[in-house]
Amino acid sequence: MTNSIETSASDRDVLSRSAVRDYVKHVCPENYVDQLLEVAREYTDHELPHYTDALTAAFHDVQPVFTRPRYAEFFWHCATTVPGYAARVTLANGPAESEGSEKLFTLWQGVQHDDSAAEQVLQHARDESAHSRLFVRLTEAAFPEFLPPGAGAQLAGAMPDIRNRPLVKTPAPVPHEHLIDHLVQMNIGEIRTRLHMHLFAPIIHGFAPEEGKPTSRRILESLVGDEVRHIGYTALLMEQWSTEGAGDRIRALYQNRLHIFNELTVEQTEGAVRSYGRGEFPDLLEI
Amino acid sequence: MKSSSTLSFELSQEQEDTLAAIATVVPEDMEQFEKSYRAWNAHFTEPGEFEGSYRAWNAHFTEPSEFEASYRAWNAHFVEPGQASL
Repeated sequence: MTNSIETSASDRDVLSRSAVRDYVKHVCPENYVDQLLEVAREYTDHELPHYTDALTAAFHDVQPVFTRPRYAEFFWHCATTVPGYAARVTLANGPAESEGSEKLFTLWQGVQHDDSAAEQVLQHARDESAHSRLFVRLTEAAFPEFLPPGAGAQLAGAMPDIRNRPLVKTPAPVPHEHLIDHLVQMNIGEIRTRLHMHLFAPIIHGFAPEEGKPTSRRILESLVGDEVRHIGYTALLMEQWSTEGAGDRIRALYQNRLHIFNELTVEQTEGAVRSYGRGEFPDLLEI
Repeated sequence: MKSSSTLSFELSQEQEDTLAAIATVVPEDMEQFEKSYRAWNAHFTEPGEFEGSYRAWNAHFTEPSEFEASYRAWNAHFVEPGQASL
């Protein structure tokens, strides 16, 4: 009896390792940065040479935790060992997107020297407000018994929505140097969010009941499409500013901000690693 | 299909079995979620308050060395470890 249980547990371990290996290979390929650049070039229809240099150098130097295979492995580990983890993470993205839309709207209010950039930042802010509701809807579609009746609508109604705000600029304009800094950081943040969509997609879709799969898939595809658009417009603006003389500054900023963002990601991941990692993921806390 | 719109939704049988092995139906404690969300979001609910907080934060923005410390202080008000990231 004991042997049977041990054999069974061993078989499960082998299957589990195989499952996670295949998952990581699909969602986090070794050439992730190259694929990302290909996607950005495809979207912008531009070779983006300056942006490519800045991003490639920074990612090579920082090796951010969210591009490591172990990060994807940890997400799989949590989703398959912690009851309700995948649903909670999906829902938590709603308020996070809403807060992001607030920050973007405030930035738009201060951008008064570059109408084209401002218009794209405003669209980005609107997208994030919409995304905050989409994540609630995604939670409802994929995990229908996770939220009590009416809770999703209540939460969606309580989150700030900038789409109804009057379009009024603030008296204090944002200097161009600060706008560059904001967009560098946004670009990095969107790259991580896009990666998260790749981590989420098969797991959320896998958990969803049959009737919820089409909606889940549609929402996830819509979200990742928007993330690509956000990476693309910020990349193209950086490229234009680089050709106008800001190339060295953008390259240095990208390196500095990616370094800080990586530290922040490690901090944000630390709680989950300590709570759910079972001591198996200490390397995720190394910078 | 453009590569930019490609997500992988396919799971192998063993991956599906791994997902199926965990009880996923754990109703969320919305009271706890909202409490956490309210505390996290307290600085952002009112646009006026948010702007003041953001402006104060942003005033330190210019120098990277100053930025890091101020960003950490500002960010400490709303980052929920383990939620904002994974």
